[in-house]
Amino acid sequence: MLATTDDAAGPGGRTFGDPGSPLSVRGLTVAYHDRPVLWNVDFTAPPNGLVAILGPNGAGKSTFLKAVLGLVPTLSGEVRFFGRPLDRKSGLVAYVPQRSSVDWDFPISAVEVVAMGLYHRIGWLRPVRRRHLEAARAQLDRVGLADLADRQIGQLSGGQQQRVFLARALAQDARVYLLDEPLAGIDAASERVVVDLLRELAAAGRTVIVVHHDLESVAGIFSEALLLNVRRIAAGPVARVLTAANLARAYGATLDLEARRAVAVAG
Amino acid sequence: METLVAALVLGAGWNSAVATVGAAFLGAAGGVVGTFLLLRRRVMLADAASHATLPGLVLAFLAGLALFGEGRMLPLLLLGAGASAALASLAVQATAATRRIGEDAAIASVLAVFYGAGTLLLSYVQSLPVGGRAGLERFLLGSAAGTLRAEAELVATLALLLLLLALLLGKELRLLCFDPGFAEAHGWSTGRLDLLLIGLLLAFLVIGLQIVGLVLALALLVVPPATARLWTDRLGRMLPLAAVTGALAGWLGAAFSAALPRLPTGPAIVLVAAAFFVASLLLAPRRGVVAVAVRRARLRRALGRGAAAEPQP
Repeated sequence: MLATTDDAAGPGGRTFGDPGSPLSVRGLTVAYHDRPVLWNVDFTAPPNGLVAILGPNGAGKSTFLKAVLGLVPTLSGEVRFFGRPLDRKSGLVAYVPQRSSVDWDFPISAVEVVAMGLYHRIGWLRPVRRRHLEAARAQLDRVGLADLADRQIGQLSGGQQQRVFLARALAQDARVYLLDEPLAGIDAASERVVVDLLRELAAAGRTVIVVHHDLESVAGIFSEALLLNVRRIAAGPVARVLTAANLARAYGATLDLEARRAVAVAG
Repeated sequence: METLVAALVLGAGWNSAVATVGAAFLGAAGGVVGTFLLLRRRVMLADAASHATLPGLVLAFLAGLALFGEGRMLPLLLLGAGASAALASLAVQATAATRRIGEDAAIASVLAVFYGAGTLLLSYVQSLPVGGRAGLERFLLGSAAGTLRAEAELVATLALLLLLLALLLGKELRLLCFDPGFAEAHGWSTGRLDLLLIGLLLAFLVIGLQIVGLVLALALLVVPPATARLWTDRLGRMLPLAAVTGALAGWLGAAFSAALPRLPTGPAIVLVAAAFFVASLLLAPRRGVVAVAVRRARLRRALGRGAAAEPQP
């Protein structure tokens, strides 16, 4: 059984800064102007596994990923990866931003996007060589897109674009993967490919942390969850997090049908 | 006509030949730097920066006059131009960072203020009873013919170096332009990469100021990349295409202006580049206006016959 993420849960819980934990967060608070987006969030991820970050719109899910990466200014709080502050250059962590964050009309092909995952190893001022593109092609093959490697990325479907992003993250060969809504608005075939690869990464001892919006599918994919609504509502094994009481606290009194079904599935 | 042909084939004397080659290298460098500016959506900032060279230029002229009794000292003039363009870039960033007004408004305001101040200073200098002040006006619209031979050689060399530097940084700049969030998350400082890009822009402006002029320098940064974009959807091909288009525009424009004494170089280069752009807009395969119209017409006819292929999901 995986170690629990719920560090507040007592016995078996991990403490902040434990070198064995890929990601631990203490007292994380983020505000945009004077509006708090995350408030005093504690979280400790298990050594490996698939972790979902859940919560309603505006709960601070994406901000949580950006804040642990140091991409948005934090008001307070500490973040440790394997017990240390993150050196973003280290290649320890791979981040997959939301699909909407880039210009898909950009003059670049799928394989060239994937090759960006290798830029660290290539180094400054050195060109991308044929062998790098071959390595990138191999990663595209893993996400089932070898045939579309030379397409301009805007000509791919949303799901295929997401798979290209995932292939780029695979090329980085990191130990911790942070993905922002990789399953939002993609087709069923792409979803299967992405979920299978996330499972494969977790099975290979990587920690995969995913911002996820679809409560119903949580129990089928993830082992652990962090439920947010600005504050931390709950964290730990999915079945313990997705209780009616927790969801009511996160989503408010108007608990929708989807959330209800999620409870049924998780229970 | 004869003089034009002579200028085109570099046969109108060594001075004119060097200036023409310098303009071509400058066009190539502008095409490459401009491609990244276009993809990073920094084109308007480039416009503000190029107009903002004027006050620095005139102040440097006055400083030279006061300190050395000679206003037209090229290194000092270019230093002043570069410094005030850098100041304007910083002013845009600082104004936009307050988030009280949009970036476009910040750029327009900074451009107006700097260019206005420059014009004011220029008219003051023109009221002074000193020599060399006519030389300042050349910087507005550029003059390849009026460029000294040694200066033109320097322009050609520096433009070539700038071109190589921009290509060397191609991998990092591509990352910055395509996915700054990814870059920042994995240890590249997008702030520093943006500074680097602005540094390339300032270098281009300073190097090219005499030949293309500050009013139209922007065109050499925008029109060749926009032309190249119509022909390809790969950055790897867009860069050489933009460089070649810019080089041709520089070459032909400088030759035209050498042959027609009253034609400033900047406008000549811009008109040549614009001709390339319009031709590409109409005729480029796939992205060109004609190609799109033909495809639509074919589809409409096929629909009429009931022979159109069902769209693939």
